[in-house]
Amino acid sequence: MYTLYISVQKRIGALLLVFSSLLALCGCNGSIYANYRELDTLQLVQTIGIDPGDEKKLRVTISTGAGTEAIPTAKISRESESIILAMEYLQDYSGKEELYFSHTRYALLGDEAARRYLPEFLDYIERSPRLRMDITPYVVRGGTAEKAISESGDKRYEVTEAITAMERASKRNGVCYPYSCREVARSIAEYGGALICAVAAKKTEDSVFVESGKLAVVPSGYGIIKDGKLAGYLDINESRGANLLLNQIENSSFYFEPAGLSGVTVLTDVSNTEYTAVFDESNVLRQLKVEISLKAGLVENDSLLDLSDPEVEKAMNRALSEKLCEYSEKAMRHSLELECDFMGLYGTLLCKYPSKLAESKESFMPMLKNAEISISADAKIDHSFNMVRPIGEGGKEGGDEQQG
Amino acid sequence: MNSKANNITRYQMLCIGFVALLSPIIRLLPQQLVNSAGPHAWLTTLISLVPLLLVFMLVLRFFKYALPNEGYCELFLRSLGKTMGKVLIMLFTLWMLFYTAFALRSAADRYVSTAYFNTDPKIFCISMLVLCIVPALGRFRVLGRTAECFFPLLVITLIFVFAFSFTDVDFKFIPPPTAAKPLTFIKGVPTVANVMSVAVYMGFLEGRIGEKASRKKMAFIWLGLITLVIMLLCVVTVGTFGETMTSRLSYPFFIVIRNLSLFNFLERLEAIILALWVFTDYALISAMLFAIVNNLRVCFNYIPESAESEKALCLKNGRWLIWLSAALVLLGALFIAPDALILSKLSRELIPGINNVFTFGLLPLVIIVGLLRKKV
Repeated sequence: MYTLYISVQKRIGALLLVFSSLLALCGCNGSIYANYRELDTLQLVQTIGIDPGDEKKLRVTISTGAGTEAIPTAKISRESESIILAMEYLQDYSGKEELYFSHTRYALLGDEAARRYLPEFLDYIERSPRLRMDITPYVVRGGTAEKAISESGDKRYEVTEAITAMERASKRNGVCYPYSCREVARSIAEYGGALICAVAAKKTEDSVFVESGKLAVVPSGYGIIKDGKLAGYLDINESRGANLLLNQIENSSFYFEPAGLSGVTVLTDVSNTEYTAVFDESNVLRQLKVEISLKAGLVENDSLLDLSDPEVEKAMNRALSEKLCEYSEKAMRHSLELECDFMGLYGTLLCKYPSKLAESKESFMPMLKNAEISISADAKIDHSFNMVRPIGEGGKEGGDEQQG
Repeated sequence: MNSKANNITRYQMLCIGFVALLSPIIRLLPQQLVNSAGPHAWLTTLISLVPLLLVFMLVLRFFKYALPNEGYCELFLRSLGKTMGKVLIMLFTLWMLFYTAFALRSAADRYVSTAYFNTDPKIFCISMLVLCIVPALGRFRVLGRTAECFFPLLVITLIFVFAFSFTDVDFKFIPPPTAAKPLTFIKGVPTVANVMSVAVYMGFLEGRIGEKASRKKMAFIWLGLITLVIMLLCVVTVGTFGETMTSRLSYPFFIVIRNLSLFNFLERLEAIILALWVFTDYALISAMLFAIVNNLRVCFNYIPESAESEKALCLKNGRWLIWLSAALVLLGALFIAPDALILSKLSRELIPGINNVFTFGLLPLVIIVGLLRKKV
C-alpha cells in the first residue's frame, strides 16, 4: 500500500513538472510574463544620434534601419535632460510597443555633442543595460547627428546601411579603423586620449543609391579625444599616418609622385612599425625612433613605368617612404601639440620597456614632447598586379609574358 | 559512518569543487584582483599558488591517516578532543552559514545587475534556495552526479567564451611585469586565496567520498584547472577593458559575454550563459548546505548515515537541521545587505578577511596541533 502511495506521488510530481514546463511556451508568455514582447511589436533601433539640445538638454535621434514598402524606416528625434529620458520620450512617439535598443549598432555624435557630452555618453554606455559597449561611435565632423540620420538616404537606403558600407570600405582602405565605445573608453581610461572615426554628412548629386539633395555619410578621418572630449581631427591622410603608427594598416592605397616621374598608386600588403626608445640614467625618455617597413604592389601609374628598371624602382620606393613619413609625422605632431596620447604610444612602449617606464617618475606626454623623435620608413614596391612590364614595353602586350 | 550508496567518487568531488568555485570566481576575481594587483592579475594568480599549495599539503597530510568516511569534523574531534573539537566545528559552521547566505545574496544580485534589471533580489534568493534544498534533502550522490553533468557543460562554455573574446583582447594593456613594484603582485594574493578557500570547506565532505585513493592527484588537477581558468579570466578581462575599466565594472566577465558576437549573426548571448551560471550557485549553495548539516549532526550527536535512507520530508535523526540551516541561510540572505552597495562593501572588506582567517589561520593551526599531538 505504501509503495503504491509513493508511486502515485512520484507520478503526480512528474506530471506537475511537465505541466509547469508548458508555461515556458510562447503561447503562454503574453499572459504570464510581464516583460514578454512579440517580435513584430518591437521597433529595432539600429542607429542612435546624440546632439546638444536647447538649454541643458540633449537631443537623441534614432533610426530603425532600412525599411520596406510596408514598414518604412522610422527616424525620430526628441530632447530631454538625459539620454535615458529622451529614449523614454521617444518611446511615446514610436507607435510601437517597445523601442528595442539592444541591437543598436552605431552611435553618431554631433560635433558639438562630442565636444561637450562624450564622457556622459560613454558613462551611460558603460552602465546601460540596453546598449552594448561594442557599438561603434562616429563623430559627425562639423555637423549634427540629427541631420546625418534624418537627411541621409531615402526609403530604401538609410544611415545604418550607409555607415556599414562606409565602415567596411574605410577599414579596408586604411582610412580609419572603427573603434567601439569599449575601445574608446578603454583608451581614455588608460592613456587619457582616444580616436573616434569621423564622418561627414555631404550633399549628393542624384545617384542610383541616394536621391538628389539627400545626404551621404562619407569618412572624414579621426576625431581626437582628449580627456574625454573632442579636441580636434585628423584628416584622411593623417589618419593613414596614425594607422601606420598603430600598426593597423590593411590594404591601403597610397598615391605619390616619385622625383622625375609621374604619379603612382600602390596598394599595401604588409606593414610593420617598430619603436626604439633611448632612456637616460633617470629613466627619462630621450629619443624615440619609429621605423616603418612596408611592402606594396603597384596598381596604377600615370606613364607606364618600367618596374624592371632599378632606378625607377629606387625612385618609387624612396617617394613612397617619404609619403609614409609625412603622414605619420603629421599624426605624431597632432599628438605632441595636443599633449594627448591618443595612439596609446605609452602602452606600446610599456610592453617593450616595462621597467624603464614603470620606474620613470615623469609623466609620459611631457617626456615624449621633449624627446627627440625620428620617423623613418622603408617602403618596398616588390610586385605589380598581373603585369610584369607595362603595355607596349618589350614589343609585347601585357599578359603574354609569364613570370619565371 | 556513511552508507556506501550515498558516497560520491573523487572525480565527482572535483566536479563539485570546480563548478561551485566558478560562482565566486566570476563574482570577485576580475574586478577585485585587478583593483589590487593591476594588469598583472594573472601573475598574482600564479603567486597565490604558494600559500594555497602549503595549505593543500597540510590538509592532505591531515587526511593521510584518516579512516574511510572521515572528514574534518571527525579529525577535529580527534585532534582537539570532544569539547574543543565541537566548539571549533560549531565556529566553522556558523561562519559557513553566514558565508552561504552571503553567496546566495550575491548570486541574486548578479541576476539583478546583469540580466533581470529592476527585479527584487529576494525573489532570486528564495527560488535559488528552494532549488538547493532539493538535493540537500536527498542523497549527496545526486549532487555529485549533477555536478558531473554540469562540469563539461561549463568547461565548454568557458572555452567558447574565452576563444571568441580573445579577438577583443589587446595585449598592449597587459604589459610584462617588472620588479619595480613587486608588492602589487602580492597584494592580490588574499583575494585569490579568499575565493579558493571555498574549496577548503569541501574538506568537511571528505567523509562522503567513497574512494580514498587519488586524493592528492585530484586535488592538484583541480588546483591546476582553477588556476588556469582564473589566469585566462584575468587576461581576457584586462585585455578587453584595460586595468582601469575592469576595476570599475561590477561584473566585467558578463560584459565580455554581452559583447560577444558570433561572426555578426549571433549576439547578446548573456542571458543563456547567465542561465548556465545558475548551476554554479546551485552546486556551491547545495554543497555548503550539505557540509553545514553534516557538521551540525556531528555537534548534536546524530548519526549521519542512516538519515539518507529516510524519506525526503522526514524530520527524524537530525533531518530537521536541513530545514533549520536552509531557513537560517535564507534569513541571512534576505537581511545581510539591503542593497547592492552594502553587499559590495561586505564582499570587499568583511568576507575575504574572515574567510582567510578560517582557512589560512584557524584550519592550519588545528592541523598543526593535531600533528603535534600525534592524533592524526
